[in-house]
Amino acid sequence: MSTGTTATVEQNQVSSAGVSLWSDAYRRFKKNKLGVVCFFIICGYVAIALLTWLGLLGADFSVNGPDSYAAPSSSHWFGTDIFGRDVFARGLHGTRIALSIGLATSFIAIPIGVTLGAIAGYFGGLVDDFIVWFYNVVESIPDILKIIALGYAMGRGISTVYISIGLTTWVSLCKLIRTEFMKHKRRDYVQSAMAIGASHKRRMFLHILPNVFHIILVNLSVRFITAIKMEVVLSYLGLGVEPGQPSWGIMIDDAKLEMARGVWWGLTCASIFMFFLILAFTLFNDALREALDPKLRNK
Amino acid sequence: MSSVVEVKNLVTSFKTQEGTFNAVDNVSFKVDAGKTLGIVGESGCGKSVTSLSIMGLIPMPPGKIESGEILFKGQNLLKLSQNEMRKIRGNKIGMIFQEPMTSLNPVFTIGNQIEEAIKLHQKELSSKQVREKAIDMLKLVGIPSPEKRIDDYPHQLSGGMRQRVMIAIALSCSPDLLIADEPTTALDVTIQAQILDLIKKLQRELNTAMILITHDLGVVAETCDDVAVMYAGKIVEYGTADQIFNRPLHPYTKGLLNSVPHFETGKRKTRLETIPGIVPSLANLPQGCRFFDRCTQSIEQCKVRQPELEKLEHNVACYNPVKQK
Repeated sequence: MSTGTTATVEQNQVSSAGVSLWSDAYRRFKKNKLGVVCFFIICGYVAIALLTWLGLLGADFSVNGPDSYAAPSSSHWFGTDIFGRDVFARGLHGTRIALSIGLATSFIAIPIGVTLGAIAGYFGGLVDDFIVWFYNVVESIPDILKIIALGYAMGRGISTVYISIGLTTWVSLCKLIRTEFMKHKRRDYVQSAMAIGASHKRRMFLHILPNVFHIILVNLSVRFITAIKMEVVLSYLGLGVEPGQPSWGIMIDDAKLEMARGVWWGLTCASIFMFFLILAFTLFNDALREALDPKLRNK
Repeated sequence: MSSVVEVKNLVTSFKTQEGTFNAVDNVSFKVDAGKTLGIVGESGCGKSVTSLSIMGLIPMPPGKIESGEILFKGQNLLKLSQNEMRKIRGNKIGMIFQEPMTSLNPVFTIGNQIEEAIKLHQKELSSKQVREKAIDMLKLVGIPSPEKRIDDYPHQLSGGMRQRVMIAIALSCSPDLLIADEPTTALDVTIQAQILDLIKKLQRELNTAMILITHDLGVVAETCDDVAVMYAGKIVEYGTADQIFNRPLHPYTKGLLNSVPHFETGKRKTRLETIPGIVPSLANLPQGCRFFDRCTQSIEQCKVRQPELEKLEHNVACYNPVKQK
């Protein structure tokens, strides 16, 4: 063979530099119209949450009005509650609480789930046995019982909700990450990373983690749905945020008494807010998975 | 000249449910700077385990290096700690893998991956210097317009291009020893020739010692100075390429050479010769020679005792070697 052949290089390449898997996923996500609509609905909710947090929207949510239980009208779109407070404004504020719970619990649960799952899947052996044993024990107690127990231990309040949901819902992510790591650690690219002298930590978090990141992303979206529903359940059970806080759970809890008196608007307002957020997250989640999952690619 | 790497009586075992087997059994060889040793053999004969043992990449457990020495420039690699070994991997010893399609991390650009190899071992370089070096490496392995290609992702490159990138990574720290584990097996024939040429050329330029693992005798004939033929975990014949190809002593080597198809014009096509039988499972190796069942010229002694490598014309482990015409 002459050196001339060496210089000849395979032509027909996919041209244009730098099409990463992420930009590819973004391109595919954009094609899913429903997913994009849902994304904007979620953005709308985030905007509401930010504006209420800054006091620019529904600022009168805790201002007591003259009429208790006023029916929906042009000045109060969803009527007023027992203290004459605007129900719609409270619903808007509920968004802030719901999203903050989704975010805060993710900040707690995702690092725990990812770290434990990565260690278990990567190292295997005794370490794996121990972590599997640990999450099986955690999982064997129903979530709601753990949350209630933690709730009683820490007292009622929004931080309790953050911590109790965060500390109990990492197991499913941990399992997913563990199996992905078991799969990836045997892949050739991890071995070649080993061959250039990369450490365990580097291989786990620099080489494998970016390859399983889509799972975390999809899980984040599912997590919001779970956390928001869980908050409503907790508040309904009287373990969630303090009464008086404008949470959807509290509004639904209050409806227990209101419905008997024919006051339907509190329940309706909270349900509508929740319905669209959960629906948007669910559909967004599907679209996200479709865009990120290599197996569903090229459809 | 002192050897870059010298393996002495290496035994690597794997623990399975049926017991512990020696995948590599008492293997010794050495490679000098600028020279190439070819390790040939059928699948599962311990070629790859040998190379992984040198790299310290045997998964432990189930694997274990039972005994022996791997002297790398006089230093026994088996005595080094994990950390010390990590400084040698990728820096002093580079490795090219069989599967270029999957050996690159799909979520990073090839530039990132070459840069990582450089950064891990040459911490004093600035990120700009590292990038320049990565571009130089791409240029060296013959990738056109490397300044643009460096930001490509692996999936944008063909198999041959990816193998070039793998070579760039392996050579980025100018290692003293390059281990190429079937570097061309996954590529089509025209690209194989290009890649082999490239490896040879770079090896000459950098004066690197190389261990080339393959089951392709054509590749060996073209590239290697020395050849070790492995069978069921043992080296059965070890000599220069000329000796092995022109005057094979071991019946197995001869069988291997005969089973390479010959294309000669004007001749009638004959049946391709094969070696009858299969490689014995490591779980129940015969007491005597491991090649006994398949050997055409076995004698009584072969059944009883295992032959060891002996210096005849060159090293061979056989009681009744092939007679030279």
